[in-house]
Amino acid sequence: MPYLLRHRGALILGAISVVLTNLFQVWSPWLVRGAVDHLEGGATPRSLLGDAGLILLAVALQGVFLFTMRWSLIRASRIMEYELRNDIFRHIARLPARTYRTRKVGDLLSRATNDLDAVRNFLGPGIMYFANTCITFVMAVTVMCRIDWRLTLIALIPLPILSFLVARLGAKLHHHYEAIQESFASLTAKAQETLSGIRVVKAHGEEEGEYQAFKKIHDVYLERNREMIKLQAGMWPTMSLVGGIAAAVVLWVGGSAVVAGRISLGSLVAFQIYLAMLLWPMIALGWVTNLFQRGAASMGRIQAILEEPAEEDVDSLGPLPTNDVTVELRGVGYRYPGTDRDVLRDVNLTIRPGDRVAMVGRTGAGKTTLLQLIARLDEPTTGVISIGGVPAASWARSTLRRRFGFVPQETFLFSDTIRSTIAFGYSDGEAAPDALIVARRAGLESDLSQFPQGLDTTIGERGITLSGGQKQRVALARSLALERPVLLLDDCFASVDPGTEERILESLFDLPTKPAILLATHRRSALLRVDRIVVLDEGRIVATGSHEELLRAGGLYAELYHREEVVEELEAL
Amino acid sequence: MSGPFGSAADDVDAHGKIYDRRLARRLLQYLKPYRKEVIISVILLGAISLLEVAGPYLTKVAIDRFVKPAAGVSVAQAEAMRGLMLLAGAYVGVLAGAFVLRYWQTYIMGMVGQKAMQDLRLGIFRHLETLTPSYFDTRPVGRILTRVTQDVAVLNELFAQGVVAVIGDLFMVGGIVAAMFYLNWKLALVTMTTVILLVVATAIFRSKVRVSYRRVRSRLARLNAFLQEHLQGLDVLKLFNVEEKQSRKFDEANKAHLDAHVQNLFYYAVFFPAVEFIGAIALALIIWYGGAGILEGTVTFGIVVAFIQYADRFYQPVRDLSEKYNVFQAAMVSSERIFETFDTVPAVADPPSERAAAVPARLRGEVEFDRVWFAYKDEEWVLRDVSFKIAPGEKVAIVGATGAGKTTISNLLTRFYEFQRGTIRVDGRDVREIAGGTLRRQIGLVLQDVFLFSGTVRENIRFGARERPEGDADLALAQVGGERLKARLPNGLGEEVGERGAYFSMGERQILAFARALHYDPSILILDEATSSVDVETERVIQEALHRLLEGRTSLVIAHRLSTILDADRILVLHKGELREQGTHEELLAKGGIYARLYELQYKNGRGATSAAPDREEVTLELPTAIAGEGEDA
Repeated sequence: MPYLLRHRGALILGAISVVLTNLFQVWSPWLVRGAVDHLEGGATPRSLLGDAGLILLAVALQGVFLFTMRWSLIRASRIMEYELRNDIFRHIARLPARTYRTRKVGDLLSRATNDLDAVRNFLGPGIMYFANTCITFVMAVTVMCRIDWRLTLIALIPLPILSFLVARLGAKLHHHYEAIQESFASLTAKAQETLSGIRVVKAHGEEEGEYQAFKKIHDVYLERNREMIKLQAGMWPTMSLVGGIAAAVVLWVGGSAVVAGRISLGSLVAFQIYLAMLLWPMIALGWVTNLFQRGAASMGRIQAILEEPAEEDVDSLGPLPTNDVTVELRGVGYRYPGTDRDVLRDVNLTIRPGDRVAMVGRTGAGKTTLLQLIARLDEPTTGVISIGGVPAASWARSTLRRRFGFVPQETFLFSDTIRSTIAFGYSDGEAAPDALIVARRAGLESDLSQFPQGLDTTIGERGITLSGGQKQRVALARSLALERPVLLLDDCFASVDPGTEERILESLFDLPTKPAILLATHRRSALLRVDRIVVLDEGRIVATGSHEELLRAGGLYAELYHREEVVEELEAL
Repeated sequence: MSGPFGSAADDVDAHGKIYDRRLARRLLQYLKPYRKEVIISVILLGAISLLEVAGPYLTKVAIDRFVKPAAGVSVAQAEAMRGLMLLAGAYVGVLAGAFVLRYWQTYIMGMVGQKAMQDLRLGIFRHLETLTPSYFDTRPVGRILTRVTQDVAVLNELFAQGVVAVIGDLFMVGGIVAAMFYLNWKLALVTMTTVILLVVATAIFRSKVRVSYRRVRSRLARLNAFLQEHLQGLDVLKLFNVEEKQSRKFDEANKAHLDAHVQNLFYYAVFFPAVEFIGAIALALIIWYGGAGILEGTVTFGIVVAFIQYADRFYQPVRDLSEKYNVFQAAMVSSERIFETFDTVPAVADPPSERAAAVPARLRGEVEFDRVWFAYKDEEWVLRDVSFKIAPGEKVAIVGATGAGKTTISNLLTRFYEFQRGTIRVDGRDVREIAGGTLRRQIGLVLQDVFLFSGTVRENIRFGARERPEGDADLALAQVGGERLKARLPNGLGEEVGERGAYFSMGERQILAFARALHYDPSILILDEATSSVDVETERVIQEALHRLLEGRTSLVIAHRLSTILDADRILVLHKGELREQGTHEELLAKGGIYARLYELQYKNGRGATSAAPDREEVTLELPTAIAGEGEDA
């Protein structure tokens, strides 16, 4: 574990603290022993005060090192948690799309949270209690043997039983716990089912039936909890019983030893304190075992993510192989991993600087995939994509992606102010263009006046909720702000009304930087404005040309365009 | 999206009061049925404290009587040994007694907590069922689930370990104090001075930790919200080359979380040694003051030893008592949310039962919308002044673009939403005068997305009409052409449907929904046709089944299939919330208006007429939502 190694200083300090705190912890009963023995003969109020003072000193020193123990070990575990969490995030942020798309968000999240917690528990409290238990045991038992090794043997007999019981009960508890979790999951599932299907439930007047079904599951849950409670109810009383029996035995055997004159009364008193001191570590031992097991399993799950290969070339800006931004696709095909479904087949397409190209096709024709391949979110199965004549594969991804402004079909905005959202693609401190101008270009101007704090309004989970159209325009602004030479727009105006869309397109085509635009769309307003239209059907380009040419040729384009006309007629009615 | 941290985010500002009389009283209602158990438990706790106090006292007796008799009293060695053995035996007896009582008490209270929790959970569940879909449509189901599951679980702790445990701790403290005063009141007073220190130290610690713990929680919530958001938006991170920038932002949130933890940790690291030290002061005081007493002859060795043990035991309940703070606080936050749910009233109220109109066992099935207006919110009208009348037994198809208001018609007729203006009548009666449940017994509803419940196929078909003989389910399935489906199932209708019916194809689910509706046998049927396409053979079966299902009842079909429209007696055309056209297919087509265009877009080429492959979902074309007036927010 490199993380442990990095914090070896804190760990060594912690280890020393463990030893020292235990040393002083063991010292104070020894002092009590002396004090009691003094009382039997030769003590004066003065000497008593001295004894009491020494005890305070011992405990004070014990306390100091108890503090340094906790402070160094637990803090180190928190810092390791922090480092590990950072590393996990950094790594996930650099995983290729292909890797993270095959995993559920919930799964990744649980590794970065629950599993991380388990690892932290192992690194912090786990290691600390383990070390402390071992040292306490060794030291206390050593001193106890010095007082009377036979009494020690007799007194210690019940203690291993305690460890054994804790381990046994712990395993059983875990088993019951899982059964309860399972039961709880089905309870949740049933509630979710009923609540999600509330229309059907109510339409059929089945409220009572569903209630009874839920109650039945809840009854099972209750019974499983009963089993658990039975165990739990026994756990602590058992521990105090076993500990108590050991104390009783010491009282009997030790008391007899005092009567027989083999040990002093002070030794007996000290002995009882030592016994109490051992109780908790013996219990902790069973508990720590569980922490270790869970921590190891969780570390395995985290490791599995960290070992997934990441895109290494996203951080440092690679050299710019060429200034030319002509995008060329040659024989590009794409097939989903592990399937035989071709999403794209033999696509040939060239987008020159300043070109305005629309891409038309039915849902599932492959438009989104094509755009994502250009931005290199994934790699084509066959064929080559090159930028300015240089194959995409020989570009650093960071450099390549900086050629494109991409607006995805599904808008995803992070919760932040509109101003920060627009500057999203810029590093902190890097000069971003004026947010207001960008917002205006994206057709956001009239919306801004409605927002409570204009550009500084927070959107998303912690802020106001935007309409679908507003979200799409903010997403557009976020990409426009980057002033990239090529814009890839994936049907990103679907929720914007046609009038506004027209205005946005006007401003896009008027951009001072004159970027090339590849736009997946079906809207008339766009189709009539672009230089060239590419018609995609089932992964193939079936036609290319201007609007007039394609319309004249008939076929799929004419059909789709006609539909659009009818849609707009309908809208006007 | 409401992920696992949906509720954590809610928690950010949930620094509640520890005690709210109104909430507490409502919560205590749930303990009422278990009054007997609670009383027994309290009595047991009293007995337990007595037994716990007995241990050190026995030690005292053993030392003073046998190990170190007072000066001048001599005890024979053999007698002392026997006495010690007896006392140790008594000690074990006390321990065994305490063991049994403690076990019993924990079990009783544990079960009280579980049962109170069950009552509460079943209560919420039942209450939620009385709410209308309008409630569920407007909030994520995950958050509602949290009320039913997590929030109730938090209260378990209050029921099981809260109130009663506090009483137990108080008993223990009281018992120890009493025993110390009984043994030697002066020494007791001296020892008790350290308790003040302990109380002060604990109070300071609590107040510090309360603040720092809240900081930890809110920073953790923020950290996890950031994490979840970014895991969902990984594509965007790549497209904007901000992997590093956002990693740094994450680092900031992560660092803030670490700092909060470290501060929290500091308080703990100081508090534990401080408590030890206060304990040591007590020990030193006992040795010093008690020792002096021994020298004077006013205190015995046994008393000193017993005091050392009592002082040790004193701290546990005092510390426990302060721990309870968290339990109470969490319980208050959760119960506030729970009771808020309880206090939500159904958006569509039933008429008072004495005023509810009587409805015959079977309606004729006449449906009338009379100038109905409806908005989901404010004045954004989804239905505007819609009027139509459907005669008993008439088959009506409703067509319109997405968002035209088709589904709303079904939501209003089933009384899932309350309309704002106009009147809806069934058999001439205002639906607002009929209890929702009574009305819905007469209205069948088949949704586009067929919802199957866990349980067997038979149970799913019998849904809503379990009073009918079991065989009717088989009959209903057979009548809608489900023989092939039945034959496929290894256990016939006894087959479990599994995870939301994932093992059934779309076509099969349709058939099951039809069987369910047929079995329910309503006089009015609302059917939202599925848009997904199925193979030709299944399509034929579905068409026949549909025909069979609609026979003899008033039906409103939100139509997606041409055959259904052609089959209808009348077509209602909704456009932007208004009823714009109605008539038969031929009439409307001849008119060349909205229907003619919808027909061209949605139905004419929809079914394999074009070059598109018939087995692909995208063939059934839905109109873009922008057409609908409210599309942007839908």
